Order: sequence, then C-alpha cells, then structure tokens
Amino acid sequence: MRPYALVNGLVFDEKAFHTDLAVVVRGQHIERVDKRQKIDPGMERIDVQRKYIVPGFIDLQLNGCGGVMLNGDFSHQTLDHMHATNLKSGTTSFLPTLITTSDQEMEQAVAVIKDYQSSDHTRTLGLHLEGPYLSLEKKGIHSDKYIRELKQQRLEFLLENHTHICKVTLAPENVNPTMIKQLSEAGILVSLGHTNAGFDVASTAIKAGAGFATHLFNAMSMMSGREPGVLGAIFDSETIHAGIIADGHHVNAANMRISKKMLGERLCLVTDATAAAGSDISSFDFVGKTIQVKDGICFGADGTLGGSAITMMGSIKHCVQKVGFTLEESLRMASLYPARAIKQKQLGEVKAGYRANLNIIDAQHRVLQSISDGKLVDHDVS
Amino acid sequence: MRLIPLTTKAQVGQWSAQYIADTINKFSPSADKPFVLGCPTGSSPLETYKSLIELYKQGIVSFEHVVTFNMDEYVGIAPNHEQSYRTFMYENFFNHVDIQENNINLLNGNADDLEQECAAYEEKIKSYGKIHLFMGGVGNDGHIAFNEPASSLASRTRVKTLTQDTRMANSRFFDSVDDVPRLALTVGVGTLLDAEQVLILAAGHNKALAVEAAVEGCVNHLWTVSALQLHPKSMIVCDEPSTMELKVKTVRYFNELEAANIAPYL
Repeated sequence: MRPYALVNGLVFDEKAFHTDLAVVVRGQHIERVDKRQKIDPGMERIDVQRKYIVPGFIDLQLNGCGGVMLNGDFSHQTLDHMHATNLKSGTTSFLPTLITTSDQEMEQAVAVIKDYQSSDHTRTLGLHLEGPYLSLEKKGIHSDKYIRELKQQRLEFLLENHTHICKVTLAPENVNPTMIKQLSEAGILVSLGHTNAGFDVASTAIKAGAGFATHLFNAMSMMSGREPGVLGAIFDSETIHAGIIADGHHVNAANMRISKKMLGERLCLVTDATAAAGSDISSFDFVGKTIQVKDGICFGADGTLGGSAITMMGSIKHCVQKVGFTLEESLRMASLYPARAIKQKQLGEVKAGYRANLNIIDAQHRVLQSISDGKLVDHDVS
Repeated sequence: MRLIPLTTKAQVGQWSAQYIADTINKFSPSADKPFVLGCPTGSSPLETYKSLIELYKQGIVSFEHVVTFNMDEYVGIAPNHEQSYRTFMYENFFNHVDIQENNINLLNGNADDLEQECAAYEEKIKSYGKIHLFMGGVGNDGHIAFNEPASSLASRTRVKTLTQDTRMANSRFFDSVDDVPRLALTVGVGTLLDAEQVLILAAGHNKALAVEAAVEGCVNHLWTVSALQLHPKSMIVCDEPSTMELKVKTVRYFNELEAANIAPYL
C-alpha cells in the first residue's frame, strides 16, 4: 500500500480541531501530522473536503453487531463480520465480549482469539469476559445457571492466557481481593460489574487493582446515604475508569453528566451492543434467551435490558445532542479515554507514530470513511 | 424593531447563533433554494460564529446550502493579510463548517475597478433574490457595515472613506493607526434594508449610545443604525452594558415583551 496524505480536513488532535493540518499514513501507522504545505507534493492526496479527521473508536464492550453474536458462534468469521460492521460506525478496535457461559465455551473463545490476534491488525485487543463470576442478584440478562465463584484452577486458566484476555468483569463479593490483585498484576483489566457489593468490598477490590467498571449504573448497587454501594466506591476512587452505555435507554442523561463530573477523563463510552446494532433484526438469541428488539431497545421476556442496539457513532451523537457534552469530549470518550483505560499507547489519537486507525466524519455524525490499520474503507451514507 | 435584552456578551453570541440556526432550519435550504446570509466581521460577531460552529458540530445546523455575502472589506489590503476580512471569515467561521467555497461571497478590496466590483456585488445579491438574514454589528458611532455618520440611508454597495474614529477603534488590530486602511468597500444602508431580516449584535458599554440612537432616537443619517426603524423585520440583540443609555422604561418594556423568547435559546 502506497503512503497517502489526508488533506483539507479538520484534524482532531485530542484538544481541538485544526484546519491547517494534514495526516500522512504509511503502512499501518500515522507517519506525521503536519502543516499541509510541508507534505511531499508527490504524495498521493485524499481530499476529505473539510470533514473531521478523528481517531478510530475503541469499544471495550461489544457482544455482537450486524446480526451476529459472539456467544454461541465465537469464530474468525464472526469476528471478521463484527469488524466490518464496526467500521461503518467508526469503531476500529474492540474487545469481543463473551457473557456468562460454560468453561468449555470460554476456553474455545480464548483459543479463537489467540489465533485471531496478530501484529498485523489492532481490530481486536483481546477478549472481554463479562462473567461468569458475577452476583446473582445483579445478573441482568446473564444465565443464573452459569454464574459461579472463581476457583483457583479457573484463575490459573485466566492468568495463563493473560495476553489474550484483556478484561474480566466480575463481582468483587464473589472473587477475593488476592485474586483480583493477581489478575491485575498479570495485566488483565479487572472490571467491577454485575455486582451487589457494598462500598467496603468494592473499595477493597479497587485498591487490589480493579481498574474499570462495567456499564456504570447498570447492574450494580446504587448509592444511598449510609451505604455508598459500588457506585459510591467508583465515584470515590481517584483511579478507576468506567464504561457507560450512551443509548438513551440504559442511563439517564443527567446521570451521564453527573458521572462526567465525578470521573472526568476516566469515563469512557462503551456500546455493550448486541446483534441488533448495525442491523434491522427484530430478535436474537443471547445464551438461550430470546431477546426482542423494539425502537432501539433490546429486552428479554421479563423486560430486562439485554445489551444495546447502539453504535459508537450513535453514542457520540447522543452525548452531543441529548446529554450536552461537546463533540470534542464525546470523541475523546470513544477513543483516547478507552485507550488509556487499557493502557494502549498507540491508539486513540491522531498522532505521529500511532496506529492509522482513523475516521472521516461529518457534522451530522456520519462516518464517511474509516481507516483501519492504514487501510481505507468508504462507507455508503446515502 | 425587536430588542433582545440579555446579560452577557457570551449570551449575545449564543442567542443570536441559535436564532440564525433556527431561521436556517425553518427555511430548509436546498441546492435549488439556498439560504442567503449576510455576514459581518469584527469582535461583535466572534461569539456568534463560535456558537454557530458548536451548533454545526452538534449536527443542529448545516451550511451546505447557505450562501454568504460579507458586509465590507478594507481597500488595498492583501487578501491573505491577517487583518483582511477574508482571512477573518475563513479563520473564524468558513474553515470550520461545511459551507461550499463557491457559495462564499466577499468584496474584493484589490479590484482594479472598485466601482465595478461594488456594482457586480449588488447584482450577485439580486441574482439570489434577496438576503434572507443580514447579521451585523454596530459601531460606537452608530455605523452599520462601514456606513459612517451621514451616509445616505438609501446608499448601495460602494467605496467609503473611514472616519478617524473608526480607524482608531480598529487600530487595536493593527500595529498603529496609520496601518489601518483609509478606504473600505461596504454594502449600503439601502442594501441592508432590502434584506428580509436584519439582526444587529451590540455588546459592551461603548455601544450604549448607538443602541440609544437606534431604539429611542429619531431616524437620522448621523446614526445610520437608526435606519432600522424603517425596516419591517429588524432586531438588536444586546448585552446589559450596551443598554445602559436606554430609559429604564424602554428596557423593562422589551424585557417583558421578549421574556418568553429569551430562555429557549440560552
């Protein structure tokens, strides 16, 4: 692939949009971000016609999209399909998320991701195991028959595969702090979620190394005057990051603004999307449960929300139009902040030396083109 | 005439931008039916442009089918000079939104035949029918565009000599007052009055006398802004300091009249 320069766009450098910069992509990386006049005149130029050049989005929680789900069909084909669907809404890297299931399916998923990850692409950054070491009271859509405690033998399986498991969502009341510490020291991001723990247990888990919180507000114990709960422990921490679902259904806009004030740059957008995102299906199967999709809401037979139907670009649009965040901050919440949460130093910014994961978007919040590891893909937005 | 009494300069920017965005959206412009917007430069509209860019980023307004005509330009200043109004418009507005290059109209202060340039500008406006909304600022001496005191209230686009007062005021952007051009091209008061709507921004105590002349004074060519009293649809958006010379009664009257229209845009 020949190097090329993206010109005549508004380049987002994580602080602001710049009208006079061009972005040079060589191979899989951004070679330079420089004044347009300084770009080699012989280089191939792509005129983006004054649209925004922004970083590719990073989704730390994605169960499925485009009509497919990872649970039940964890394969290269599914991952390829999800990546292709993701690009249409700007996500260039994601954590394939496997929800509570059997040991056997977890092992299969690890084997598949091990085979799928390569130095050639950054489309997946390792697995996110959402469960099964969760709280029964806060199980949400997860199957209670698979929810269990984390035993030593399974801990070793997780530790052995730390390069393929990026993140584990667990309930700290069911996993002791020593195990959390071991997971965290092995480089696995421990995320508090589907938990009914009290403030003390949650705070101890954070001190032991839990660095993330799964879908803030949803499936966790709430704050009250005498018992701050998991939510209080997260707000009280100076270190923990959190993912929040910005689809207008999971979390009230006021709660999003409050969370922003509490967590600042540690609040990330996650989609927690399911097969329904980027697709027009009306129902799908989620580990044995039939999930109905209506008006952008996914719910099980008893009305429990079962993931979302939102895309990353859709989440940003929601933040800007309904929540009142600036476009700049909403973009950072979908790129820079999640990259920091998982300690990725080559993703999430439009910067020389970084991976060429980029989007060309317009002010109507449409992704016109995306660039994934240097490769440009055009999208039909008509 | 409407007067929108606000508190701060930032509110003037925010309210006027919301009003403009709303007006554009209600018009629902298309390639065949573009919205024609008159644009000023200077410090008054800066906040408005910033707010318009924010609204654009929020996906609330698009300028794809908006045609712009700028009010004025210095004569004999290089187009890329940092103080040319062309540079101002690109840096503070055009570069940040989806306006199409061929929809941007600016007076050329370096044209060989300045009179011909002005006549062609008027013709170009006519070719679109009319300007739907002309936004402007007001000078300390009550000038709108560069229509200095005693400009004809029937004037069209032409060459104007800048007063010493205006040059002094604008010298803050130049090294010295001698560097401020002596001539400018400007649309006329008549050109402004032909627009479907005129929206004037006033912020700061030094605009207070001009606001008084515009609202409480008589129509008088010494305060060209007062010509707006003859316009069927004009408004002045004010911050608090700029209303200081108005009678308490006047301000209270407009406060009461506009109360319901202020909150939705802030």
